[in-house]
Amino acid sequence: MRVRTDDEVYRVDAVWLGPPKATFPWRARYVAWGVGIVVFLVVLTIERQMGIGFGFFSTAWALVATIILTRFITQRISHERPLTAVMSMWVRELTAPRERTASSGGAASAARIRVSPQRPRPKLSKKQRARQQAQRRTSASRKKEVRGVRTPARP
Amino acid sequence: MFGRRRDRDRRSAQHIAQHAAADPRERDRAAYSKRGRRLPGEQAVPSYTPSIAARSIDGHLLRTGQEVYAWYRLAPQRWSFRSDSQRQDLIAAIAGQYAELQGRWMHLRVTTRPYPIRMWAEAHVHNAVKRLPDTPGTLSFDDYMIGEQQQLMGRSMAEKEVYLGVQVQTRNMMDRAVERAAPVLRKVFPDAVDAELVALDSEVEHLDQVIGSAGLEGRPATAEEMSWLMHRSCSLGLPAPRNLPAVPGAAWEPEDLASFTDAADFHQEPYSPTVTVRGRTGSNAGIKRHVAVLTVGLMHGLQIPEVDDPWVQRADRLPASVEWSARIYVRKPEEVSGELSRQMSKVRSQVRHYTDEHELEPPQSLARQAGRVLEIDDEMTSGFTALGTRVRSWWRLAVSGPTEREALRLAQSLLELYKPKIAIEHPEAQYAIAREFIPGEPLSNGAYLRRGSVLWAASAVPTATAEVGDRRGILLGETVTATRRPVAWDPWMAQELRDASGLTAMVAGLGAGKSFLGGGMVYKTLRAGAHWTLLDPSGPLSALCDLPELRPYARPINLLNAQPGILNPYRVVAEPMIEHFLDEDDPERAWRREKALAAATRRRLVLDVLTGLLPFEVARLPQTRIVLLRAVRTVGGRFDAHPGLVFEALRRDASEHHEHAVVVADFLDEMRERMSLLIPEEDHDPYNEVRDDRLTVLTMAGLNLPKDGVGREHWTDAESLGVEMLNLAAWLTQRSIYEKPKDQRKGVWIDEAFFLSEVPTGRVLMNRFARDSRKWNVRVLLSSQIPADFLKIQGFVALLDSVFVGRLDDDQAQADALRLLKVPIAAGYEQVVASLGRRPGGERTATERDRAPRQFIFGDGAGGVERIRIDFSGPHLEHLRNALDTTPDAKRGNANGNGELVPTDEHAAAQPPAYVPDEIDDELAADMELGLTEDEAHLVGHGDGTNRHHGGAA
Repeated sequence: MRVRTDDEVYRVDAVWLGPPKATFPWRARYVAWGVGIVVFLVVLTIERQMGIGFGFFSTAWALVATIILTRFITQRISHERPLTAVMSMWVRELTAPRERTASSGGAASAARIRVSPQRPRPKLSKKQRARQQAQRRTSASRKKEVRGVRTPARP
Repeated sequence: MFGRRRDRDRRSAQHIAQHAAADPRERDRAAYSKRGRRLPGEQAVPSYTPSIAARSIDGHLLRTGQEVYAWYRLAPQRWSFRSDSQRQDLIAAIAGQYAELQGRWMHLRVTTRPYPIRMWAEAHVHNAVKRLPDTPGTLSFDDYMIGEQQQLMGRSMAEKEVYLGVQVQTRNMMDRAVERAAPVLRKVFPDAVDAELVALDSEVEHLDQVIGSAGLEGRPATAEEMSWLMHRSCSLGLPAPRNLPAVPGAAWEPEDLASFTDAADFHQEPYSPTVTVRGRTGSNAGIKRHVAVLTVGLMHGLQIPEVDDPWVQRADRLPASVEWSARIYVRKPEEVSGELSRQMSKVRSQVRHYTDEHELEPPQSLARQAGRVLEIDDEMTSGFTALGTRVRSWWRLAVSGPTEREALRLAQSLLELYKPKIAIEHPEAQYAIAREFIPGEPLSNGAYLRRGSVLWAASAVPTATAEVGDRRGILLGETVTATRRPVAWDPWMAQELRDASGLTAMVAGLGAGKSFLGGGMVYKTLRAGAHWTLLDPSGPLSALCDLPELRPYARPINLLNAQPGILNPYRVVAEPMIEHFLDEDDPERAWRREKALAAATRRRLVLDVLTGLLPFEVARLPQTRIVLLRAVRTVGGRFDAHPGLVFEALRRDASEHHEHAVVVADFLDEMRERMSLLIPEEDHDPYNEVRDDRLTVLTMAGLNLPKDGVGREHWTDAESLGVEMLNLAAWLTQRSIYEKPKDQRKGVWIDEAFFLSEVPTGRVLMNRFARDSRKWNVRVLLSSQIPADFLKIQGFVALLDSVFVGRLDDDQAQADALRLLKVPIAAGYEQVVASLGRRPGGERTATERDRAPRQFIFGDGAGGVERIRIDFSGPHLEHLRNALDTTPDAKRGNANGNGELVPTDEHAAAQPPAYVPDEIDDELAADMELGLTEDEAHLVGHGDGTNRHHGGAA
């Protein structure tokens, strides 16, 4: 049983040879034309941004740059790797997680933690303190003998 | 105090969750700043979002934010040694299943599970009942088991597991909202939480049915399998974890998925050829692997069952494990036909552009493409089967190595492996493509799209494996076809579990490794508690008895030097004991029937042996048969008779053939001294002593046997005596079965078993073996150099359980061997038999011995047939290898001498009950069964049929 993929059908090399009866000396796919136009516009924009004025030579150089760039890009795309896939792979390459060489954290240190032996207590006013002392005294003096429990000998 | 502790708990919970969270520091700060106000605690625990797309796993359903996938584990399929039509049927069945899944995405994952050597060892030890006690100072059973495990550990042998995820449904906003609100909703309205999956029930059931039918034979993945798959995918390329995190009893919540994602992290440099996977937890902590992810590029036409392997299975040839991940979308026909017409118009307009507008010749490819479009359109519209359904698919492979160099080397060898018909590409964006392996992740990009029919996708057959043997028996070696898998085989599993016979045929030419395989098998099963009796006419196997750990339990017997009477035909057939019939409905009757059968067998055997010993001219005379038969009948079938009694009976013959009877008696008396082994001396019966040995090796070194392929009519006297003695020795071997308890695992190996087809009682013996091997738990190993010897025995193939076929050079022998294996003949497998274990290239001038492990085709009787390599190469088995080395070597010191019969008086044999004449119908029935009726014409015809001939001097 011969099995094969259908890929051949989808590998139609759609080229534009030029206007009717005026065949260009090169053959470029439609994709290349599309990429070329975009690149040309981008190059022109960059030229303007760099302050190069519009003229014959600047446009001619832009054209040359466009051709070089377009060839560079179209060499990297094919039926197997359409433009969108190549672009998305490029983005993925840029956004992939990197190895973290810089350390974060390090040895844990408690040096900067303030340690005090006592927890702060709410402060008592003088009246309250006096009452508390009095209470303590009375409770100590009025110790009742409990049945079954030996009372410690008084000093 | 309690307040502080609660705070600490909260922080540790955060630490657990923070691994995969987007920015843990920010959340930390938020948690601390709100500390005062959030005393009740639970709200402050940050919610966890897994770093993978999967959100929860319920049973075999895996939910991501957008879709629900049902995952199945696919059954392995046998591929090798099947006929092409069977293979085509398998592919068509799988294609049909794919076609049923129109409009769905599938995710095919092939992963590996390392051979669970620990589990094998556990099963093997549990299975080794009543094993050989260790002899001090020799290889103990524990050391032997350790050696076996180390031998496997040294090799990377993995078992392939194939999983298929099928998209069940896409999820809508509502489903996601309900899932998000699940913790609260569960308290208020519990049914709403499960509503999504409940609604899918019928859909899932339909998918279960489609995937579960013949072809893929998938069954819903269990929780443990899901966990394994997730783990292997999230730590792609890392060694298998030694212990997996426990599988929860309930569904996996998003938080639980952290146990997978935390196990490893991926990172890569821009445009680096591999992605680095770093293990973080468990046994893989700190281990780094470089994973090269490849993808399947353009593909030529393949002749799948006939010439090429299934193309996914091909990767199994790589010595390292290869992970596969394929995304397949089964397209709807209307979508495809629209696309096809678009392509067609594209082609047409191009042609017009070339010819009309520019007057140029259009490229040839356009015409070809137009033709192919029409072909595909035709495939899709013709016929009633859906095999023309089209798929779009992306196939990725991953190999890993400890260094980048190693990973790239493996990737390169994978490329070479698939050359020239399939291009394997090495794309950029390695990290993104590596993530595609994780169930639930979306496709990272559309590059390297493969389109084709479902038939093409099915012809990948990722489930094709090379499975043979079982998982608890002794280790024989490994498979050497497409996959490398260790082969274990328990010779008693067929009888104990499958209710099959215990007959095994071993066929191989000279020097193809028969005795090595058999000897290894005997040694290993002996260690595991079996009892063996070997009949080895040439004698080298007695070396097994000299192995130090076996010596106390083994006894070599050279039958030619043994006491007279050891091959007494009346004694080699065991007397049935009534204890063995207690489980029958009517023990008494069954026992009587069996006794009658034993008596008839004895008479048949004596008749057969004596006829065989007579010169051909005498034997073929009708009156010879008549007088012999009458004499044998007179003597009867008692176990304490001997052939000497038959001679006397012949002399006493009072019928009209009296003279002839005396002549026959004279002829036999003439040979009397040569058949001393058949006739016991007075008062000295060797069967009075019984020894309980685990290994008995019967040798007959020096026996004169006919050469292969020499017809019976040309045998010399000595040769025919040799064959008869061998036959009797085989019966003696068989007798040993009945002396041991029924349930005990016993083995019988008869080497040079060709004579079974040469003597009429051979078939009787075979029948006994086939019948009793299951009942008495015996593995009967018969080896020969010529498969036709076995095929000549009527009905033998049907009785056969397992088969080992080694190298055979003769064309006819190869075809016969395939017939034994029940493998299609004339399908090209003869070549395989011829090339088993042969080193490639001319070795005519080599002076080194070919020590490469021998190969066999092993049919395990349970449906598996594979080419295996015998491997007893562990250092712990070195003494065994030396003992079994039967290749002559003049430089070796001294050869092993044959052992002598050393009878020891342990305990006297329990005398079987005296022979009582049975009811006449039992006896008659037994006679009929063995073809021992008074029908002389039949017997004479039989004698003529065997065509004996007195050929040459004795």
